Amino acid sequence: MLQALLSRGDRRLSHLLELTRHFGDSIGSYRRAFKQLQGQLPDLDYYVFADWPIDQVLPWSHLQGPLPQGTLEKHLQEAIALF
Amino acid sequence: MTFPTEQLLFTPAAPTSQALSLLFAFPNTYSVGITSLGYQVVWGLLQARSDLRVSRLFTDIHEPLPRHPDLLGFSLSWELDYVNILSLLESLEIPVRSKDRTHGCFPLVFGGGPVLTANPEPFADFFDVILLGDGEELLHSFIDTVQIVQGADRVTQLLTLAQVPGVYVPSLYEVTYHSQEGAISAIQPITAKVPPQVSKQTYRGNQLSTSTVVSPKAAWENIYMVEVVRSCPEMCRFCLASYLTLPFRTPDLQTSLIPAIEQGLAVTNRIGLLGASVTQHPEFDQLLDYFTRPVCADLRLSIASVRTNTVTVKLAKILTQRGSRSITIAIESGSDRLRQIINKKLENEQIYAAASAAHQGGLKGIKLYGMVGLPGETPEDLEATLLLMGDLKRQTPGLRLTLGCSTFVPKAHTPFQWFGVNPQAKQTLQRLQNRCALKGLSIGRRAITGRCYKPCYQEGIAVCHIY
Repeated sequence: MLQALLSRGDRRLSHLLELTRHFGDSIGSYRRAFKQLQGQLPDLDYYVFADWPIDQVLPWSHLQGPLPQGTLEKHLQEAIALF
Repeated sequence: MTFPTEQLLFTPAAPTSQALSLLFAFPNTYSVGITSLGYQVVWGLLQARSDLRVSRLFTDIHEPLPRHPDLLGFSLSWELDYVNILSLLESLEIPVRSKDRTHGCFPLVFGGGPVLTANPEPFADFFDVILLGDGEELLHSFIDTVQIVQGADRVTQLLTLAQVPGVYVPSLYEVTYHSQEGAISAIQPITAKVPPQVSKQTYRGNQLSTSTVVSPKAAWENIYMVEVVRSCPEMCRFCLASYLTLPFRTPDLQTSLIPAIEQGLAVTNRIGLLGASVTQHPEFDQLLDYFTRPVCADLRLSIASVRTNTVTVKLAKILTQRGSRSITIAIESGSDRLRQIINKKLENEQIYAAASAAHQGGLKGIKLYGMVGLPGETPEDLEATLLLMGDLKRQTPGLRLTLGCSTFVPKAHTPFQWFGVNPQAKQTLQRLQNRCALKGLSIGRRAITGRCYKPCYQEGIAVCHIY
């Protein structure tokens, strides 16, 4: 879960990361930090469990990987078509 | 702890009197850091420059540190190691946030590696500069530019560095949100002087990475690591190792790989072949012939996980003869349907064949990597995995079977980046574990979920690469 939090996180998490480290490295520590910062950033579910709409601006949208986003979307649609 | 006796495979340059001092840190222990091929290679690149005076820093040990370093670099292979980055900054009395380092004589703090290349954003405020992608050429352009702007004020330095392709200066980009608790509305450069998009750099040379140092304190004692391939051509829809590092690159066997291996064999008899899909190197069979020669008799050979349909009796035999006891294959699921969804071009028949080849070749065990909570997964898919494990056990008696299972984690720059973690995944994993135990099968949780940092990465090979 922490991996998902960090892999889809945005800059607002930096405050949370600074805070949690003084609480310990358990999931509970992260939940506690989210509670403490409530109102300043989205909740844990948003980062970890929510499916994001395809037109949402991704935290890394200004960083260009090897493939254009259009190709990733196409591959996503191919996968969904087999559900 | 003191530094163990290391064998260097390159000649460090003697720093000139003008050399900039650079601390090169790995945010974990020496043993973990020195087993990262990425850390080794970048260290070698930096040490080979006479315009730098480099000191290594780990959480448990460091070389003599300069009082006021000009540069501080971090190689980040595991996201949770960020905790150690913050602690190291504090212990060096350097403010953790980039914005608090603009005045006073603080080093330029930069970072690279797979975690920061995929999605640096949670950590962006801690770094002045983030290097995106393969380091081979990028590091030199970065250091060259640092040399040019040395002595200028921090703002000028950062603006100039941001012009270098692959050099990302987070503070020069502003993120705005629909609301404080909402999604991002835009990410824009704060000045027209910096590019709106930063491109991850791709190295296209013939020579991939090889160990620059062999250490008795590496996680695998005295291992010499050779990157056999970079990226993976398969493009499983969740896989960062494939998608982030494309295109698939394979160095030439005779002119590149074998000379690299010979260099290692001169100092150690333990060789690790790394890569997301090493057996897909077009000359892999000849590489096996190379290791079969009697002169390699006392060699210990380790190999990263391999593609299931490339497991042959020949491969298993050589691994057995060269000290390996098991082989690891990633099957993801026992369900053909689910594997089609994720673009894993693999059928159960091929899994049976791989297990049988491993057994015939003399290996004691086979480890299968699976994943639960994949998008599109149904309870039937789980049943299919259990069925497969049971059948495998019956078909290859005597072969130790291990299913290493993790939950699906979305990764940036992959087609599955939009999917969240399945909230039921944890329970599903537990259920799978219980049912496996009932059948007498062993199932372990993968230490590292997502399996994304397994493969070869310029800056990020780490411990779990070799199984």
